[in-house]
Amino acid sequence: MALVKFLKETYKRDSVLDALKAGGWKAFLDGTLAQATFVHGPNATLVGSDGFGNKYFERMTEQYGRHRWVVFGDLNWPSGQEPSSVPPEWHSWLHCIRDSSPATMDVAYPIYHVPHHANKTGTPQSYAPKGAWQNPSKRNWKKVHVWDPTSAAPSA
Amino acid sequence: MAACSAAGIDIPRFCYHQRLSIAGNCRMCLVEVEKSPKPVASCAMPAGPGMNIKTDTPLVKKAREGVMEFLLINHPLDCPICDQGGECDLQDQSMHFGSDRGRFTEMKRSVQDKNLGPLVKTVMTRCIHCTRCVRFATEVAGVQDLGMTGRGNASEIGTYVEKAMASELSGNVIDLCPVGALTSKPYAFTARNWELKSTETVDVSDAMGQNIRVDARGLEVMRIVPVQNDAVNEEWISDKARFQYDGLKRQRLNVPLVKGSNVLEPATWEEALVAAKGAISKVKGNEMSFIAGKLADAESLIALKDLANRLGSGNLKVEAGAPLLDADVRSNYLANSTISGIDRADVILLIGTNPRVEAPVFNARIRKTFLDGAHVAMVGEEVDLTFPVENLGAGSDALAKILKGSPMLKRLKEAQRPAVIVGPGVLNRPDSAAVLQQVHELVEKADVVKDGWNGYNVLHDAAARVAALDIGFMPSARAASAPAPKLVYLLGSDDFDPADVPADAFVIYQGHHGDKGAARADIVLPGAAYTEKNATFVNFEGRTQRTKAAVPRVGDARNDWEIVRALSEILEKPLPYDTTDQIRSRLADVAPHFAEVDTVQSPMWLNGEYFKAFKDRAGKVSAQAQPFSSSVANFFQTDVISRTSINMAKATHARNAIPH
Repeated sequence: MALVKFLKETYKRDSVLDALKAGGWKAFLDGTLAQATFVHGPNATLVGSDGFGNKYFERMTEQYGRHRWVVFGDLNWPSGQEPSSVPPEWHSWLHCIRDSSPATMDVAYPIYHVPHHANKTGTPQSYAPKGAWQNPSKRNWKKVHVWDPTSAAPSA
Repeated sequence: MAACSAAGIDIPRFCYHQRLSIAGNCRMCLVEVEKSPKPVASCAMPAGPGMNIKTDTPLVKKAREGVMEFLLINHPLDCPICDQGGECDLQDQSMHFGSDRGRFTEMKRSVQDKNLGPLVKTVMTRCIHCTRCVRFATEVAGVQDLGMTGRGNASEIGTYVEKAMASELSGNVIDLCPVGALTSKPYAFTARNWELKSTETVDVSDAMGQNIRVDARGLEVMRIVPVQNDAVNEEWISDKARFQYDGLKRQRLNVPLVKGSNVLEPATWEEALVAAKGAISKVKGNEMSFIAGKLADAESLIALKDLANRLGSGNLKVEAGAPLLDADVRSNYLANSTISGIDRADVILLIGTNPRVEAPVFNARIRKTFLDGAHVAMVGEEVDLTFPVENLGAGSDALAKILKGSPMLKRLKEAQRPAVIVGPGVLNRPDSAAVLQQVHELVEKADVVKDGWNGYNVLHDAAARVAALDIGFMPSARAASAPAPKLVYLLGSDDFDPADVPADAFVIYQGHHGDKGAARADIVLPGAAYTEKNATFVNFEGRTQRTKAAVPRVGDARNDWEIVRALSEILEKPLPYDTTDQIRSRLADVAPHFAEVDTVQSPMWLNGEYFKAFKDRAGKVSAQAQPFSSSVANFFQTDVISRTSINMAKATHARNAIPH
């Protein structure tokens, strides 16, 4: 059965019950996930996945524009399902900027490439300007730096 | 141009500078001369009798407008982000001669920036090729680092190969640059010139007493630039004087500290002074030693000396240098020719000195004298003084050779105005009495001192030294037999000889920076740095100069002499002065020239008689063979301020990276 196969593929579980336990139940809460899982999930091709656990599907019989989709690795609600966790190379495949998926072709990275990460807003790692109190390395606005006697080496 | 300015007419200029050679390449100073078919560049045109010069005719205006338009063609429109903005010659003059609209539609030229090291920032696209910097480097600084490459539209100012400028005066190109092509790297994007409060004061980074202007914004010193004083520094200052100001913001002492259990802990002034009283009352007389640092001012020196004498101690000294020099005869420790007098010398003999690192601006003056035709020779280590010098040997044996009769002795004898410059390389030596004896013999033999000319000069390396000698801040006769000190009072002294501060001594440190002295101390009294106090300094030619406070003191710090005065009150031996005027009149009582600010009182030449008596003492030590070497190992880091300065550390690093 296509749905069972799909759930097994998606959640790497043997039975539907296990798949539901492993996170598939969230489809009942989340319409997007339900659509991806039950409506066009069955008979879809698993094209590949990225380092964040996001899985990328394709089903060419779907309406054009809905034929490629992602099921996020992190399905927690509301913090999960982070669209910015899709790396640029998969993003370009999802949005039909390129035809072939990163799973089947080598991606040439520029020299200034840094590993992709999801948007950190709302997390402790989020960006804070140099003067913000959240910034752990706050800029010292004092004009004069005072000598600290304990920093000096004890004299002979 | 000189004729016009004498007549009170200002002629716009970019390339002309009165202390540099005439280049005549900016063409901004065009004037109309009667009977001349074309406008002439006034900087390069000698004024003649009967010449009619017109400076405000339509022809002149049109010519200057044309020049300005050409200059602005390749000048970027980045005044809002340019550090020169507000004090830019091009900006000012384009207000007068610039067109209100451009008719230039092509692309502007762009030039790659050059790396001149950590002190001078370059934005070479802004350069208008006035070549002032090139002429300064070759003519005044004496380094052949800068030059013009390429022709026409492709010409560029730069170092031929990429390297930092190997000069101690490199910062002056910043002032010379009429546009924003050469600006100060540490000052970049920190302030605008119209928000700065300027205070004209005196530099203490070397003993020359260069006149500086401290530009401050609020509590911060933002930059230091030279003030013109033809008798001292003309209009140059050394890189150390210009860029060490960031040291004034680091490692400062802001509250009194008293040693608790093994660690200095913050205290109030009362606690600190009472603790000092407790320590001082336990010792007596010459068991107390007082050591002044390189940056001590005359007021605090006299206050400390008076206090020491009231406590029965004559054990006073200034750190690192001239331990055997005595203060009986003033001409014995001054540059008697005066700094500007060196310009007129025709033969100069340098003994144990490297003026390039001890006083770079003075070295530029000697170089100028050399270029005017003077012969310069030296006894001491072989060093590059930026101009050719005849090296006569390294040590006292070379001096003896000159004394026996040599071409140099003959040259000195025949000279109209011979000058002998003795440096700290001689004064710091344990055998300095014997070497000085030799020098004096030479001075006598070669007639260096004659009517209207005294060619005997002593060059010092620390700002406090001459004032200390004038005041007599030196060991008394009985201090020689004093026991090892049990209490040491360091007045800003960080380079003290470890032998002077025994391990079991109680140390009181008064100063403005936390360094070796404060780390060793049991009580720390925070004082003021030279930009924070009105104080008196005497430079090595004996010129009394006063600093002015440009910024407030840090935290709870106090004026240095006022700290000593307060301590005397606590010790119940109050000093008889309460105000700055009173302590200055006390200074004038001790040495009258302290009342004559900004003048040199030529001392009487008594050395001839004096040195006959000196001979006995000199006889006891014999001159040793080691070569005379300068007391300054690294020009950029000599005192506590320059050592804490990041700019100076970077400059040292860059200098060491230059292959020799």
